[in-house]
Amino acid sequence: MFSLFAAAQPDTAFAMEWLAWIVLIAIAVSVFIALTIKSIYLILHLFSKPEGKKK
Amino acid sequence: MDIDIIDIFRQLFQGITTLVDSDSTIFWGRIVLTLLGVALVFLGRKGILEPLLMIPMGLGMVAANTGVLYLDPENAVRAERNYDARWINTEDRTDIRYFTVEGEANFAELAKNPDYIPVKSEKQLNAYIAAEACVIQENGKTLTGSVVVPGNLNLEPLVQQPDNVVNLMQVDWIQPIYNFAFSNNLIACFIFMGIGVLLDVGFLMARPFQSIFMAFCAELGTIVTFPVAVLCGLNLGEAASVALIGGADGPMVLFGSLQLAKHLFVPITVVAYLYLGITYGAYPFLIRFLVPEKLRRVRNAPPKKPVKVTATEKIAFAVVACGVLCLLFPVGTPLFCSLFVGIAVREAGIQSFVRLIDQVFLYGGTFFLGLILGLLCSAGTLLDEKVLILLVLGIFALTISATGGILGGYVLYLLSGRRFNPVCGVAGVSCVPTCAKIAQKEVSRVAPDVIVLPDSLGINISGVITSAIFTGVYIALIPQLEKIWALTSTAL
Repeated sequence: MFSLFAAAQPDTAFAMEWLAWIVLIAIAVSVFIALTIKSIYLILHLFSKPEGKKK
Repeated sequence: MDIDIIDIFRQLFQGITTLVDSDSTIFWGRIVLTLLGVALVFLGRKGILEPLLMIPMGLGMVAANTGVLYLDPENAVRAERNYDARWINTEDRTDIRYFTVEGEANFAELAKNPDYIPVKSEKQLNAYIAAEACVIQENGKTLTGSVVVPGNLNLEPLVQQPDNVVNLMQVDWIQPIYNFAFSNNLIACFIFMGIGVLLDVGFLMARPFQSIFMAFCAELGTIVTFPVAVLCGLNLGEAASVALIGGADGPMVLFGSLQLAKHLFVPITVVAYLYLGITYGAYPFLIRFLVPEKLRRVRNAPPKKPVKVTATEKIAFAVVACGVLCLLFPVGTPLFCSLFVGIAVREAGIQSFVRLIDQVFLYGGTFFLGLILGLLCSAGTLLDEKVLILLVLGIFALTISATGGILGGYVLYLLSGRRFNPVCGVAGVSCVPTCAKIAQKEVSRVAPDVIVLPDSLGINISGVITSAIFTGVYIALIPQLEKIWALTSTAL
């Protein structure tokens, strides 16, 4: 394939190999963030329940 | 005294002179981009493309490609202006040559072309520019000419030296806005504050897994484009910078390219923000192609327990989420802070701030964003083979991202027992709130009573989070991978 840019041309196989790790790390972080958001929501809802019951 | 009428005409109407003196690529490029600018204004006016962005951008493109003049050559070079020096024969003004400098990619080929004057170095080229009369020898003849440097008085994005930046701010009219508000992401942050003020985070808080799953699927373009860009000849840093365009998050792309491929900062800036027009224009067709009408009518299942999130909870969420996300991803701090301050101001009910952010920051930021983008789209900047490759890869990344989002929508459609509209998946592409609005618009076309906007906005915001995740991961890993590759290729 043509190459228009500077040197240090990596191999596509090298990129694909490490791409799997990049995706796995991203998945792990995404799950952690989703859990964090859900935890924040549940904790806040837990504290707000007594207020909601007041009449 | 002889009066050279042609010379007077050339000096008076330099926009036309520079166009006539340019090579065929730039000549047609300027004309096509001017017409494209007109088309963008027209399409914005008709509502086919987002008018808030396309009208200033279209005008900017027209001005950038018509308002070209000859600058003082020495000052232009000293000021690091992005220049394209030309030699014009003093006797025969149709004899226009271009310079090619030894060491440039296609020097050997151009040096054989009679339209080009080969020079040994930038130093020699600058010497020609500084000379009052530029003399070249050709076939035993002495030809005298002058060197001219075309440019504009809008902005110069590539200037590095602080002195030159300050000087240019006194000459180029929008340079101050570019340096103080665009290239440091301040405009993007203003826009995010405005988005925060408009958003209701209740749905994201209530359904984070669904939202982040969809947003992750919509990062498919960011994932797939990386090896494709490497296959096209980019190195790892350049490939990652281009792949980030798939996240459709302009500020993340800017930050990523500054860290990973600084020499591509300007073309990636232009391509990354052009997505705003591309997504608005092309995504509706992609949705209609990938999702049959019957499925576009699907109504999202309401939550089992009604989602009731109080304003206090939303403010508390904004504060905690801001802290946690900034802790995990400092790369996204400007955007996270801007977004959550907008949310906090809205939920606190501070109406004066809400009006300031909504009416001044959001619309002002959008206006200057469109205008500066248009002014950056000059033929000289865009008609470069590197930029065209980036444009193609960028469009590829955005298309794959939208497809990935819709595929994620199909997965949720099946998992929810056919009670989730797959069109919402396109909102995972984090062009906030454009993609959420596109999802609602396409659903409303076939089923006006089906409302998907709240869910789509939650997914849209999650797209910002997943874009930050991938930006952070690429910035952390790519330098390490480059070292590993350097060691591996040396060993081989």
